[in-house]
Amino acid sequence: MSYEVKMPQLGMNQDTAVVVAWFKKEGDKIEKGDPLFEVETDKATMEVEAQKEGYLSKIKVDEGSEVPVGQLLALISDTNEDSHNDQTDLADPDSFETIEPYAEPINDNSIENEVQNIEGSSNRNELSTRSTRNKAAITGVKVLASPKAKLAAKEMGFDLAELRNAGIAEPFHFADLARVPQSSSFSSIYLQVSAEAFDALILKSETVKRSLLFSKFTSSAWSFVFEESVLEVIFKDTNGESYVETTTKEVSSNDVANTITLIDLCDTRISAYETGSNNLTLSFSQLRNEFTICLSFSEKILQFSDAVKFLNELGARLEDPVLQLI
Amino acid sequence: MAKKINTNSESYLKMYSQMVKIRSFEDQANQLYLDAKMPGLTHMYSGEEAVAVGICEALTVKDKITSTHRGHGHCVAKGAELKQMFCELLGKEEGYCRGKGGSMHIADQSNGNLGANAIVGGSMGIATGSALRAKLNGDSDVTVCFFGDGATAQGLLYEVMNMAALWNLPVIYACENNGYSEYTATDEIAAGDILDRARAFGIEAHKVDGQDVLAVNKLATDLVARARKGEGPFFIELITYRYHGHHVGDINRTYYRSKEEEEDWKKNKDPIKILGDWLVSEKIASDDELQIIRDDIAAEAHVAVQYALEASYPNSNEVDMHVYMETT
Amino acid sequence: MRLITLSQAVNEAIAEEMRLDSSVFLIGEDVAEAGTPFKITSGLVEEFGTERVIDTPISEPGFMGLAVGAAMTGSRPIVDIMFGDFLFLIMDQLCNQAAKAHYMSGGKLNVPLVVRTNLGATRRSAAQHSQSLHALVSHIPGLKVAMPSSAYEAKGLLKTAIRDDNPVVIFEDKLMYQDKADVPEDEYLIPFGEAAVLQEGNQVTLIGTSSMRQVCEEAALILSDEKISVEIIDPRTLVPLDEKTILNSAKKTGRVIVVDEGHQNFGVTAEIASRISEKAFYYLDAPVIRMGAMDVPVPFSPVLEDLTVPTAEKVASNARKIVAGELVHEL
Repeated sequence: MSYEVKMPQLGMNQDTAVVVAWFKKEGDKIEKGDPLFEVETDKATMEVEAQKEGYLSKIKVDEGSEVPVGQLLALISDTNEDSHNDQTDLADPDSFETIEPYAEPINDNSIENEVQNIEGSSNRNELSTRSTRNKAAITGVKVLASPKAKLAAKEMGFDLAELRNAGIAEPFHFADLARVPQSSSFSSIYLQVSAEAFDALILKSETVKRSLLFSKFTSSAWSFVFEESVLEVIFKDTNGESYVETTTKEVSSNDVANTITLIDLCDTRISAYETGSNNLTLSFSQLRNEFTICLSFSEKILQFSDAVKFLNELGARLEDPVLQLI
Repeated sequence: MAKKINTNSESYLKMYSQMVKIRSFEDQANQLYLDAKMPGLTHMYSGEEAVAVGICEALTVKDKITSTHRGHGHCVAKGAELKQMFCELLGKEEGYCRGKGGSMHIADQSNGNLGANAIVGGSMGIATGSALRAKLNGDSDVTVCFFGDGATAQGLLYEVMNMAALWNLPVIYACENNGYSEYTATDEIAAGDILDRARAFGIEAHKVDGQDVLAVNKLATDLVARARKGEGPFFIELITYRYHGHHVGDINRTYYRSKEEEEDWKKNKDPIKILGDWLVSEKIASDDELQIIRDDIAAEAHVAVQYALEASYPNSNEVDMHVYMETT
Repeated sequence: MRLITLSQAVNEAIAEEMRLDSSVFLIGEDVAEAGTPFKITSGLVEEFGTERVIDTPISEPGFMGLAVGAAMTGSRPIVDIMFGDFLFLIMDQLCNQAAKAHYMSGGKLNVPLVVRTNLGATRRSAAQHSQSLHALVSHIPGLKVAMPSSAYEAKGLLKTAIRDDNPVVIFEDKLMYQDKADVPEDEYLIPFGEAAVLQEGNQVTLIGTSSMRQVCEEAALILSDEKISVEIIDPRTLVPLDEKTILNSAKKTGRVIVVDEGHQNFGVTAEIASRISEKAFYYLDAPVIRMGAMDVPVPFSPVLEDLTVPTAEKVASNARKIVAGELVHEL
């Protein structure tokens, strides 16, 4: 049976040490407490004593080698016979592994080049430290605004640069958003269509909710017109509660290209709901046997011609639900 | 009469076993460190066993101790289990402190050990406060405050000895003078006689050979009994020696003490050998019987180490547990 | 309605808890017959005797250490540190011993003690008797920190502190000891980690700790004349901190000023402001403004000392600016 001699931990901050000299050679008899080898750390040189009596059966590390703490240096065996057939391997799963030097993350050259092109700067060091920032922050001249104003502007689809163009001083605050009339990029189109076939469908299947059918028809019409484009349908009830009803595909939220808010006004006397935001909104109202559908949208998101195609398709499906099955 | 001798023999053999247990524990701990299996660092008690054992054998489970960074000996002497101690040294879940304290913070309140302390002199207030609590509540327990010669340079000692003396608190200040304050000879850091410092507060102070466990135990038994009766506090200076360096990595130490000096203490003043020789000469035990005791305990320590090496680490969800105690 | 001083409220809290629990005792310099320099503990020694109202030598580290040991073994000491500035003397016992014992022992030991001390400048006491050091101890995990802002809070928070199983540091403003507030006759506790919303508003939130709550209230009065709607929050405890109430208010008003009498650098105002910035960023319509004590040792001369602490006028001025969208600090 062999006893393992390992590189001792000699200082509080020491990871490695150099074996300067062996005081014994293989085969030598050893008493506990005999100086066995000399070690040098960054702070000092010292002798390490044998912790066990026996015979030095194998020296695993040559003089002058720098080795990590915990590494096997030699074997001491009870008898002097097994000095050449030790089976113990160097690897010791219990010893503390030396840690690979921390690798600096490689800069993304594509971003860096882009930055250089944009700014035309010659100060490469400065640029490389910035290369992890996102591009938007580096490109245009930053508009200064409070986080609240920025978030509100984003939700409204409003470009804060328009406030600058209007001569309002930065930084912008939430209240500044009301100071410039919004550009009229928002539009509404209406469609009226017979509700008879749809109502008949609802009557036949008592379990199907009207709102769900509206969502399904909307998704299908969207997919039909725009093919690959993904649509997330959010149903908003008249209490103001919203929930995601359906999407045209199984997708993660990152993939959603467009969101449409769907409002069912059929149980009210209200005929339409238009929003001033750039988000797509679709309201459904019903007077006797006729649906009135209002699509409000921003031309930044949806071209007028596309909006017409989509609403026409939806109208056709509501008028003749069989189309939905095809 | 025969029964009394028998009782005493048991007590002598218990002291022998306890000292061997500390030595075996430290040998294993030292090896764990040298093999780089133990994180952090540790301070060996080897050589000072008679101090911890002589005093703790004079205490009951209800009596309290506070310990130091060189605290494994106190912990074993006050009744701790080796497995849980090794687990703590290795940062394992089954350790006395669930791996959150390590070598320098083992606390075992079930045996009255209020904890080792990594601040030199840091536990003097705690020990004295424990004695204040005993006095206020009319509890009969005595608290022993272990500290080294180096800690006598801390001002806290004099603040708390002043109050302990004013209020006759049941506390015993046990100064383990091993001759070195970290890497510096005590002569270079301590002016005057250490005992005089206690005497300045009117505290009865004794000096005893800290390698003679029977002498330590006799003095401690007497002082503990008197402290229980309200005659405290007391101060003991125990002259002893640490075989290892200040901490396990302190191997190259000839600049502050010679190898000859170390050899002399190990050869001629070893507390385990001194008691062993006496036990044999008094025919309380034979050499063979003592060898069996040593082998059994070494085997027990070995088993405990292996157990601890294989024990599991704490769950990561323990990291923010025990910052605050839930008040019920 | 029963108006009593903050000093009386503290005295009542200690007396009530000492009557309820025999393990509670009071220890410190001149706490017995002298009743402390502020006469807060007067009368307690007559009721509870010198065994439980213990006068010590002038040895803060020593008696703090005793309290840790007593608490570890079953007592519930209340430690009187005469001036908050003397906390520096007990740092090892408080931060290395008391704060860590429960954690280091894996939950086996605990240290149920209260350090009662004070804070606050403008008492013309100069740099070593005027500091507000609550941020310092709030930084140490394991300690809880309470900051009563009136006699009502002083009593309710201290009673909760004494019953807590952890070390608690409670800071009273030494200029408020004679201030009166409505304190119920009946027993009550104020739970830790629950801020008080003292006034609701929707344009700007003023967060004030300890006596800075009064400064915020005065500022709100000034601002109400200008029809600015102010919400006032008193966190009451810094550890644990009622982040939810603070964030909800920040989200509502979008503008926050944090006022505290500790030094501004690396202080309580910085901590609260950064939590708001991290967790309510998108609701903010103005930078969160910190108003702490000036980063100088507290000067003696009254003319100089008054310049170092936040005032209602300065708070109102900053609130006015951020509500109007003006800059407090240059771009």
